[in-house]
Amino acid sequence: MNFINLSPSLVIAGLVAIAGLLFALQQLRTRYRTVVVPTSMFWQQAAQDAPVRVFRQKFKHLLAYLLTLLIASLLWLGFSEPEVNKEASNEYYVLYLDGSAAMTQGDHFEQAVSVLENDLASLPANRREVIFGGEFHTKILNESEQLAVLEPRLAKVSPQAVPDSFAEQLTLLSQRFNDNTPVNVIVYGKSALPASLQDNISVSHATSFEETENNAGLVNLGINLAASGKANLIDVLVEAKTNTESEVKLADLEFLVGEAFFTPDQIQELGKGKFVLRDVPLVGEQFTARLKNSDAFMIDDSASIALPKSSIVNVAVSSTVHNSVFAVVNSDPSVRMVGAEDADVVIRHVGENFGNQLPALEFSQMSNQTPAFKLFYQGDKSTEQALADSLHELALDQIDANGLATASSQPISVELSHAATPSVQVWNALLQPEFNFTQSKSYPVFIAQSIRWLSGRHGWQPYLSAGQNVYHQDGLYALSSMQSRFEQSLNGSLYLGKAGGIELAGQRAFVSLTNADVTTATADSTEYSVGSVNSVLSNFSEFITLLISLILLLLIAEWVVYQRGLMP
Amino acid sequence: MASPTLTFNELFDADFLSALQHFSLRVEKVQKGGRLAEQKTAARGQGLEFADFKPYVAGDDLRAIDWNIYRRLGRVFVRIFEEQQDMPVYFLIDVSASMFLENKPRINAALQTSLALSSISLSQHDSVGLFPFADEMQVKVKFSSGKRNVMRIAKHLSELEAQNQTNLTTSIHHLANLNLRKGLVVVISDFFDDSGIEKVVDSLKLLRHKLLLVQLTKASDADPSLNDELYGDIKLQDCETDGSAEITITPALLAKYKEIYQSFNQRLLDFTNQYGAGFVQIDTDEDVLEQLSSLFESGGLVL
Repeated sequence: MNFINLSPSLVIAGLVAIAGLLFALQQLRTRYRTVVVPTSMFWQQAAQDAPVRVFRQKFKHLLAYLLTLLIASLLWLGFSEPEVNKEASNEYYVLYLDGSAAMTQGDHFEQAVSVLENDLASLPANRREVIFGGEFHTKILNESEQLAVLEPRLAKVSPQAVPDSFAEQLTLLSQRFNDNTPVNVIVYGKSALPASLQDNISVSHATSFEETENNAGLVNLGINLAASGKANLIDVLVEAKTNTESEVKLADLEFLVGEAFFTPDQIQELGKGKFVLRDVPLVGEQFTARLKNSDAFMIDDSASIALPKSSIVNVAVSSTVHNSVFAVVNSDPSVRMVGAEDADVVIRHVGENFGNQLPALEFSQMSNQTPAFKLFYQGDKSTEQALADSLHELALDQIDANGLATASSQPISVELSHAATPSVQVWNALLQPEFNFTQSKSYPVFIAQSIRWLSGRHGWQPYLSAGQNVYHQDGLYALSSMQSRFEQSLNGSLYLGKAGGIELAGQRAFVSLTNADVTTATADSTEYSVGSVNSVLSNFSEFITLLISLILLLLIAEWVVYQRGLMP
Repeated sequence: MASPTLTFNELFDADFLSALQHFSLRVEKVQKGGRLAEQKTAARGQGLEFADFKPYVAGDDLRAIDWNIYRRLGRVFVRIFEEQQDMPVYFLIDVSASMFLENKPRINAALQTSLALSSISLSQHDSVGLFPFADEMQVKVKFSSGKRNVMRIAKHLSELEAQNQTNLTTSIHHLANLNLRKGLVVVISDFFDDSGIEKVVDSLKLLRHKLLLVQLTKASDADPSLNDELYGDIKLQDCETDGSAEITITPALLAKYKEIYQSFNQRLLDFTNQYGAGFVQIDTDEDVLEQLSSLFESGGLVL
């Protein structure tokens, strides 16, 4: 124990107590007892003649010295964090504060924080740390760091709509403490304890909470292409579970699109709380599924997902372009052939007067254009960024550039330029049979992806679930052309931390908790070892308390002995 | 704070007085010129104790002629006797504030001692004078004799009240200047005079009387650790001077105190030995009669 590790409130309380004690001592010291005596002349003479204290004289008061030494030694022991035994001195404490969704219920998180703060005061500063497990794992108190910094940090953290990730943290700890250092991981929350552990790591709960009774929640919410084949519609999967034997009925659920209640035309019940909402229109708004009656644990009572906008792209194709283009366009169910006046995208030759001012896929003469592919993009991205995006989004990385180069006896290159209207220019010659480009599987992908890139229509995600990475799909079949952007965000995997609205590739998206473990969790059956943990932690406190009590007793004894004139 | 003193009824205790009947208080010789009584004097005349013979001269008492000598020697001699007279006993009683302090105040023992010695003196036809003193001496009773005056003396004693500061030196000077007939001066006091024991002793030397010093003490005077209040940090309030001293009781200080007090007592004792004065210490917490009995071991105290 030391004063630095005390919380500010305790420090202030201690100062007040010390001030009171000093005041009392001051009163005792200055308030002489008045004793009326027949004469004071002998005392005055004795006081004048009494020997003054000198630095060195015969050591007369061994017992007094030993008493003072004992008191001073106990004080030293009390304030120097004595180590009870060698084993305890090597043990390292990792205090894990659970900030997952399960802790949003009631004041469970506040309770856990309170217990954690109490325990911390008793732990040696150089052998403990505190980790907060929320959206990300954050070390909010390093070893040897002063306790004073913890309170403001705790004020900034709160339980979040994320599934429990204690197991991942435990894996990290196992890798970190692989040198047989005894590690005592104490969980302040509801995180499930693992069945098996590394030998040098022990895990226990410092808190226990009552089971959430009759909880129900949404555990799945996803969208997929409409099974009816209609390109402008989509199917929505909704799954809800309870932590009891009962199942969630359709009547227990309600759906919203935006702020308005939505009633699907057709709902297929798959059993066990699973439902498929058929042919939901692509309106580009937030779709929400929620329980009609909320329960005590509310965070899983609703889930949302962003419905994509209509994916049909109106394309006008100039009659002058190669027939293979018509074939590809006609085979794409998300593309509708229209006249130039109604088109979102046109396909033409460079310089042709057809759908001017519209985004265009243009075929150019090889002699007039040095690079085989020339892209004009919008926005404020750097050229390098735009190139990286476009290589994947236009499926250029799937083209056999070496084969085309050999056939054309020219290098196949890509050039990017910034422009007000996006366009893709490609050698018309590449469509000739000798280049074998139109026969390759990358050709329809290139055409389809170019149309989608030029239209500016973004893809969509089948689901976004908290605590998971964004679901990865391949280009054409995924209907998502933004995958490379996701990958650039986090080196290939975009982790969705907590539930809620996010900005994803320039679009509003919604991440839902939808975690069956969270919803169906019951009270942890692991035996709580609160007592044993606290006993270890309180050993220090009890020892200090014992020392302080002993010191006080000795001080009282010294005071009495001193007053009796039995010690100098 | 003054404690209640003995009332007349408490003081004039018949048992107490009767226990004193066997005691006598004598000096070797009193000054001539007093009344016939029981104290030896240098005077020759009437008396019971034969002293000598002398040739008859005209005017001698014919009853004193020793006819046996006349028959053998044919000359007329008369017997002469030692004349016994009374002795004036002057009681110098300390009534300063210190005598009235504490539980069982010293004045009680002082009054009992005074009454006891007065009673003894009166019973042997001596005269008694009461001179209470504090910062100055008063003449309460200058001369009183006769056994029946014991009650009167007791009444005067019971009426004594606490005065101010002890000034024994001045009081002794005052007594010396009264030019009283030589007798016995009994000083009953704690002898706590701020002017110091040396000045007290010097002033006692001025008295031409026989001296009996009665020192009223308590056990805690010699060993303050016996006083439950004297420990730690204390402010000593002198009951007479209103002066105070803040001290911390330590073993060293206690040792020094004892040394000084012992020196104080020794000085008194040395003086009494040197000048043939009587000296007695009365512990005021103990029974006065028992202590006086030990003083009059053989029935009489001769100074």
